[in-house]
Amino acid sequence: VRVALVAGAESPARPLSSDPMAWRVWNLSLGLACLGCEVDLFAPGGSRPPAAGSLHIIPGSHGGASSDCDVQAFRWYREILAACDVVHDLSRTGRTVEELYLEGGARYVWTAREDAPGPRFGRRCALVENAAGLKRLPWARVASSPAEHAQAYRAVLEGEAWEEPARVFAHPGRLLFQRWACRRSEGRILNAGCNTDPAGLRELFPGRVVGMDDKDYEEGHFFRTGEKVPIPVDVVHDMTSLPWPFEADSFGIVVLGDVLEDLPDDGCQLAVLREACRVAHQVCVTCPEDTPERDPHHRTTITRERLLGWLAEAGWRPVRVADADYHFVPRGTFALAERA
Amino acid sequence: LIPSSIPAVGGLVAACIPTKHDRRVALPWMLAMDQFQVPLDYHIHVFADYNVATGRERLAEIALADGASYILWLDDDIYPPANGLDLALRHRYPIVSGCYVDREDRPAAVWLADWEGEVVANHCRLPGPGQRLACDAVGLGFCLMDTRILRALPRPWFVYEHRLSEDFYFFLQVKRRLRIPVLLDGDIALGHERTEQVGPDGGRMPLARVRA
Repeated sequence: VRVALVAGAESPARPLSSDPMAWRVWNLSLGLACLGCEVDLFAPGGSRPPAAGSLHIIPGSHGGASSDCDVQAFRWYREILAACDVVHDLSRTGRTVEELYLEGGARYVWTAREDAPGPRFGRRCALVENAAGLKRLPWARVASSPAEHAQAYRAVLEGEAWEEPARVFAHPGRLLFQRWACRRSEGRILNAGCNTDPAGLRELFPGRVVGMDDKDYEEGHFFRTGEKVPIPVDVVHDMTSLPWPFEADSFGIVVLGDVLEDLPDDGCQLAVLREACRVAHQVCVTCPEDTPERDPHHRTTITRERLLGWLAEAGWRPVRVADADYHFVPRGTFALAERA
Repeated sequence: LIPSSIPAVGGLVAACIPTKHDRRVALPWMLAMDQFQVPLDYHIHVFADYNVATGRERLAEIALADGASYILWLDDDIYPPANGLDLALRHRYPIVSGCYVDREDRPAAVWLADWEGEVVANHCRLPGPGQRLACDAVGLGFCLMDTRILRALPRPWFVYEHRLSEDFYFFLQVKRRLRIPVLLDGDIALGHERTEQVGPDGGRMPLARVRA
């Protein structure tokens, strides 16, 4: 097996080096040579050639990790690296891994070091020095001796790839959350405080949506221009005036999309949620955690805990709750709840 | 064009500017371009099409045929700082973007997520000066891209689909197939003509307002 060992640009790889990693790279090259591997060592000037194989001098950075040196080294020796069976990147920056990943090369491993974050993408086939390293990188493999390294190289040659799991950002936008909640509901939909229907519920669920608002024109536009632009509202009714003009259980779901924070902080929210519980089986609430100081239009600060408390007190059982990043405030809460 | 102090970047940088036939660029954009520092190996490609996706597709083809190592996507209404390309190249990263807000005052940078079969774009915060953040997708107003990214993806690269704009569609493919996040550089603060937010320091003022 022909193995490329790419050392960091910071110090030469040789025995008794003051840099323990550089010493370790050289020891690894020696151990792999003893196991019958042909080693191509890529290290800065002053490095000792491996026992079996060749030394390729890369630009040295004289102390610190350097992306420029590592990328330059890859460009110098691209063909030699491509000819090796496995490339092992032991540098701090992990640039060789990144470049190989971009070139489509799959046969690489890299050592995750405590003192460096490693490659910024293409993070697969990672090795750690000991079991403690698995705390940082649980999906990596432990390789401390040359024999364990050789075993990892064989696994890569056989097509194995152990990868970092993809990050999941599960919270959707508020409008999509409202659409999603309506899609999984049955019966009619009451869009309370519908305004211009930004989620497009009326278009998505034709014949099911009833829009309720205290005005039949767009309020924001009216304040800006003095012009009354009509909005798709079926029932003009102030939601804080109870009861709402609907029979009990007449809706499958009530959508309260970014309206609870607009109500005064005097118990209105709890009363509205209780009234929603009377007319529907489910409720979908989205609200930012905003303050009146930042936006006077948002008269109540609603935290996740506060919203969950109101829902429980009003007789709702949360089915799905998600924290969301509103673009104008750092946090908000989405909740879908059913009657308890 | 003023040659920059950028050292050898390892290949040709092709600036690709999609525009429209009847587009007349604003004076601040021309001034920003006049001051823009570029490396020695630098070509500019402009393609006018009423469909931005088609324009980007054609520009990418032209840049690849030109042998470019990097594509710098530039919009004709985004005002970059003079050393923007220098700042983007220093990262040695395949996709680096500057920071700006879209015409609705939202950061032009998002996280993409699959939610019950739909693709969701959530706006993320923009990094401040000296900061860097990763995200899934950005508007291609000022974005430096390694051409190997394009070579690794199937064509077409830019289409309107899934109710996503052509640039977010492209980054969705990058996320799904390559799993490479975009690097947002807070030092590359851009002005955006359509938001009428052009600060004296290249848009840093409005960005500070958005972050607040």
